[in-house]
Order: sequence, then structure tokens, then C-alpha cells
Amino acid sequence: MVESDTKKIFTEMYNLESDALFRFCIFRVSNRESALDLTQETFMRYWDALISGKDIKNHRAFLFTICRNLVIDHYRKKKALSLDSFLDEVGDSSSFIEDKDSNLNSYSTAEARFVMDKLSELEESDGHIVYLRFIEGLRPKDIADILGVSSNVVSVRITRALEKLRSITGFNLSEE
Amino acid sequence: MNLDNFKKGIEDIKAQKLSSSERDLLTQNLDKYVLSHPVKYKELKSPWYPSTLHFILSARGGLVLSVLILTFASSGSFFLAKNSLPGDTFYPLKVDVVEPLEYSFAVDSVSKTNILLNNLDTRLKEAEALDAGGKLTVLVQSDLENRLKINTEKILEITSKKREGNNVEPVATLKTTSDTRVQQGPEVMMMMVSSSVSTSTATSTDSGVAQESQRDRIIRSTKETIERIKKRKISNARLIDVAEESIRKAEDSIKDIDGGRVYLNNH
Repeated sequence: MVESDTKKIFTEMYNLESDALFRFCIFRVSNRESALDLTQETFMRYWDALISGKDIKNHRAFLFTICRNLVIDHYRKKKALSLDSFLDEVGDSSSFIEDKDSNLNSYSTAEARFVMDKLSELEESDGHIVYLRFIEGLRPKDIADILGVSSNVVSVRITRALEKLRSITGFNLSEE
Repeated sequence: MNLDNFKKGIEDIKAQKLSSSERDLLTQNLDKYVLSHPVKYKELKSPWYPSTLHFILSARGGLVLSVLILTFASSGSFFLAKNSLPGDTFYPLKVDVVEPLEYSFAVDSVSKTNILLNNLDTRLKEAEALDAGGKLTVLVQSDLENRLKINTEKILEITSKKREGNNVEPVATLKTTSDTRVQQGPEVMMMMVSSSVSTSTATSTDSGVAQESQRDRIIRSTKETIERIKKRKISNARLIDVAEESIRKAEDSIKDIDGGRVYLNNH
């Protein structure tokens, strides 16, 4: 791959995914400024990977993987906790969103805030999967790549999360 | 809140985007980063890429190329050439490269004579193989004849040089029981010369011993090859003539080396 091709791919992915990554960061860190920093850092690392000749099969999933890891690092730094204890903590649904009130304030409409409020009641992994599947429109295979699990696991979790969301909201939610 | 509101909420979240100022800032920062971190991995280059070609043509590249060519030549082509017959692709390589190379690597006249006689034997073997397959055309036959003659001339050249440098009188006896007159037919080669060599030498000086020993080796190896050549069953009359002439000259040259002290039973 020559330099011009690398820049072309980078620009294309930037135009396609910058909003989605920024949105994902807001969903997790509830702060536009932090979300912007994380989005920028994600693209910097993506560029580093491109110029080092890394074989990237799924660029979209790769970007979300970087972003997710950066969010985890962000939490770790901010709370000055070890990664293990952070992961233990985020396993608890109450801490799925860093600051729930702040997070809800990041959304302009009541409907959006309502959806985010209900998503935050899900377990961390299920909330992630529902977000990536129904808001960002990622395929189960892409989500599996990001989370490092199999596609079957993702499909099972989607079904389970939808059931829970139905019970929380009382709406007849389907995968469509 | 109802389901429609929920769906609208999802659409609102999807609509969440970078503001223009945020996008400008992000783009600006990333542009700087990309410019300060250029592509650092090596690009794959074609063998015909100028710098690669330059390496191949350079002294070091030339050496590498030569080694590769020699390795290839010494392994595959030389093997194929060694077993080729007139008309084969590798035959010119055999007669114009491999055999001259073998000859040039020979250090003494014994080895050189041996190689030339072996070549002579090879030509006859080729003729025999072609004749058996009905492929001995006039052109091939003419080519083989020429090569046999050239080979013989070279043998004579070597032995005459040897004779000029010989100042020692050896005592050698060469006995042959055949008639060297040319006859037609495959059996001719068999009955032409059935020779045996018994040599005894007497020398007066130490250097004479060494020279005599070398002459003995020439005589012995030449006779052995001649015997082998004679056993070939060539049906082509003209080739028989040429081969016999070559053999006769080789034998004569051996006699010359022996300083004329060779006795043929029939002469």
C-alpha cells in the first residue's frame, strides 16, 4: 500500500465514522470535550496502525475497538483504579454510565434521554451490544470483533437484552 | 412515552454529531498528526523497479546473480546437458560448454587425453543411440564426424607436445593382435584392434621415472578408452571410418610417446 492509498483510506474512514465514534464516546463518557479528545486519539491510533502496515480486515470494527479501549483507559485514569476493579465496577449496571445525569443532559430531546435512561439500566455488556447494534447499526460479526467474542454470543446477548428492555419499557421491541 | 417515542429517541441519538467547530478542530489536529507521522513501512517493489535493478547491476548484485546462475547451471542444466543427444535443446551446452569446461579444468596431459578420448567415446555412443532410434540424419552424422576429427587432432596435439618434451628412452612393449584395416559392418569395431599393453620401463634418472610413469598412464588410459570405443556397435560405415581413423591416430601417438619402441604384432 502506498502513502496516497493510506491517506485515502484514512480520510474515507474519518468521513464515515467520526460522528459515530464521537457519539459512542458521548454515550460512555457523557462529556463532549472528553468525547472529542477520545475520538481524536482513536483516529491517531488508527493512523499509526495504517502507517505501520498492520493488516486490518474490518476497519470499522477496528476503529470501534480502539475507541472502546480508550474509553476503558479513560475510566481507569479518571477513577485511579486498577483495570480489574474498573471492570468489576462497570459490571454493575449502576455504573454503566459514568455520570448518569450528565449523560442524559448530553441529549437534546426527551425521547433520546428516555432511551439512554433505559439503556443504562441494562448490564454493561448488553448495553454496549444494543447500542452498537441498534444505534450504530453494526452487524453481530462486527460487534463480536469489537468485544472479542463470537457472533453467536453476540446474537444471544442481543435477544436477551431486547427481552430485558421490553420488560423495562413495556414496549414490544423487536430486532427491526 | 410509547414505542414511537422510543423509536424517535433512537433517531435523536443517531442524529448526535460533531458540531462544525468540533469537526474543524478535530480535522485540524488530525491533519497535523498525519503530516508529522508519515508512512514509515517499506513499500514492496517490483524486480524492475529502478533501485532494485540498480542493485542487480551493481558489483554486489552481479556477484549474487552470478552465484545464482552458476548454482542453477551446475544443478539442473548441466545434468540435462550431460544426457542430451544431437538435436536436443541442451546438446550445444554439452558440447560447447560442459565438455570444454571439463577439458580446461584438466591439469595434466593424462587427464586431458582421457577427457578427449571420453568425448570421442561419447560421440560414438550418441551415434549409436541415434542410429538405434533411426534418427541419425546426414546432418547429425556430419556434425559428429567433425567433432570426432577435432577431438583426434587435439589428442595428437597433446601427445606430440609430450613427445617433444621426452628425452628419456623408455622400454615399452605394445602388442596388438588385430588388423587395423578398415572393414564395413558392426563387428568391425569389435575385431579391429584387440590390443593389450604391457609396459616395462627402465629409467636412468629420477626425473625420467616420473615422466615415464606419466607416459605409462597415458598409454594405459588411452588404450582402455580405445578398447571401450571399439566395443561400440556402429552400423554406419562413414562413422566407423572416422572412428577407426581416430583410434589409429591415438594409438600411433601412443607409440610415438613410447619413442618408437612399440611393436605391433601384425606390422
